[in-house]
Amino acid sequence: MMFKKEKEVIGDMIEHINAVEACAKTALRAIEIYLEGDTSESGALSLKVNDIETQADFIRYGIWDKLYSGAYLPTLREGINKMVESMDKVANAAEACCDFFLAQRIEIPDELKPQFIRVTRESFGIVVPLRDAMLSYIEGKGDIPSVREKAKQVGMTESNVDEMEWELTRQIFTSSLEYAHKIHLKLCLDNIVEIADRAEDAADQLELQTMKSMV
Amino acid sequence: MWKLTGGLLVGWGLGSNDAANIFGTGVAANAIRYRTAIVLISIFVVVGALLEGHKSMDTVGDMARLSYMAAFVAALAAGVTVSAYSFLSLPVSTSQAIMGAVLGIGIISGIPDFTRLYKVMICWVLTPVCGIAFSYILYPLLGKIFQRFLINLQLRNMFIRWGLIFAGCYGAYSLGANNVANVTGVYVGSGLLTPFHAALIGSLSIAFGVLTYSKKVMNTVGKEIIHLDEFSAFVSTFSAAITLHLFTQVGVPVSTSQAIVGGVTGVGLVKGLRAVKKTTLIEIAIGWVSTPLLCAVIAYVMMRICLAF
Repeated sequence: MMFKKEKEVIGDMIEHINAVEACAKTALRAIEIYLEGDTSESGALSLKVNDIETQADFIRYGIWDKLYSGAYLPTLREGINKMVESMDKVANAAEACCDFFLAQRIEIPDELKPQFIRVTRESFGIVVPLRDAMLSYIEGKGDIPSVREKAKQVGMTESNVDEMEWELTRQIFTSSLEYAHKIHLKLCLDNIVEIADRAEDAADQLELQTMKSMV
Repeated sequence: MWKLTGGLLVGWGLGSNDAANIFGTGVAANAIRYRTAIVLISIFVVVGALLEGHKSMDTVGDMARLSYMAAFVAALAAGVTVSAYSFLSLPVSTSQAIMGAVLGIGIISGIPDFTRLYKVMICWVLTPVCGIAFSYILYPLLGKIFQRFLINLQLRNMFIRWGLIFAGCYGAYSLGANNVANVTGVYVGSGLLTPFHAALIGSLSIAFGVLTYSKKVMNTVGKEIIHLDEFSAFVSTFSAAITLHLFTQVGVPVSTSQAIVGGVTGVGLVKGLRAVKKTTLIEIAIGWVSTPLLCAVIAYVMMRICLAF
């Protein structure tokens, strides 16, 4: 069948995007449950996050194999590869953040919990607009300007996360907590916002790809 | 039959060099395998020559009515000039070489038709100009369609891949139709071959050159052109193919290389880039004068030697 490999790559990319989204959503649930105090349930979910992330890696390897055995023209191939890699980094960041909570058993003071939950939801929630933008481009459901608009939406969400991060950082360091605890909380926050940063990189990569498509 | 060897040499050289201009981009972009490309070029060159090759043959043949021997010398002189230029890695046009050779020999017999030369020279100058114009018009036009209707990643890939193959096949057809006259046109003028036989033998010799010795040049030219991007490469090749086909209708054999340089320059103008080096354009301009002049001298000297013995 003609263009069979190309079709398979599209299918794999969609599967990869879904895996990344599932990874981030499961990680968010694991963290929420951890903050509720149920570490055993959170640990079980964390293992699930690891499994999904590994599954995403395998899908990515499959895409590599197909791309470098001749699917797509070289310039498109390079762009696809970069987009998939940048998406994969979002899943990696979600996994790393989940591991941080479970491995380091961070203690979040009750007065800071609502802010932590809010910033975590906003940061992890960025995968939804990212998924929409990616699928819109890959499946060709919208024209190039609409794909770019969706990619910009990801950037705006990341800006919100940045603002929340700044505010929470200020609250952490103006609190009466011990300095070591403050640093630990800041490290935790850095891990949380890392997902939004990686998602923004992926959206940038997508936008770059759409710009290359403009003739 | 040995008198045909000069023409066959020109055909072989033309095939080995000019195949790169029309399918180099497709091969370099991996849109098509090298082996498939050379088979397609060979087929379309023969088809183009058989269907439309006769249109340019009259121009070459009517430039000067040559004897069998003179036709052989003219073709050999063109073949030697083209080979020498290629050996020195200088851009050369077979069309300009053969015209120069016919004129050089025509001077000896005192019957060159200079009035036809003006038409030919105007067409040479217009070749890159037309290449520029077509790609300048086609790039935004096709680009709009491309951007509006081919949003899907897979469709986009399919369009460019098939576009490069289509442009290459059309280019090969136009090459056969336009350039076969350079190979065997002189033999039609001398009465050694009929236009049909000339088209068949000429196109087969071009195809032989494509099949045996085009890989190196195709890789070099293709990779140079592909630096643009696949869509630009498609437009450049397509514009060059239209240019060649247009001049086939006028009945003047022109340079494929200059048509593709025109195509690339046009794309560069649309995108605001300098896609072709200034030196390449200067070399083309010099070639308009130097190639036919040098080939005329070589043909003149060779014919004088032949007549002396």
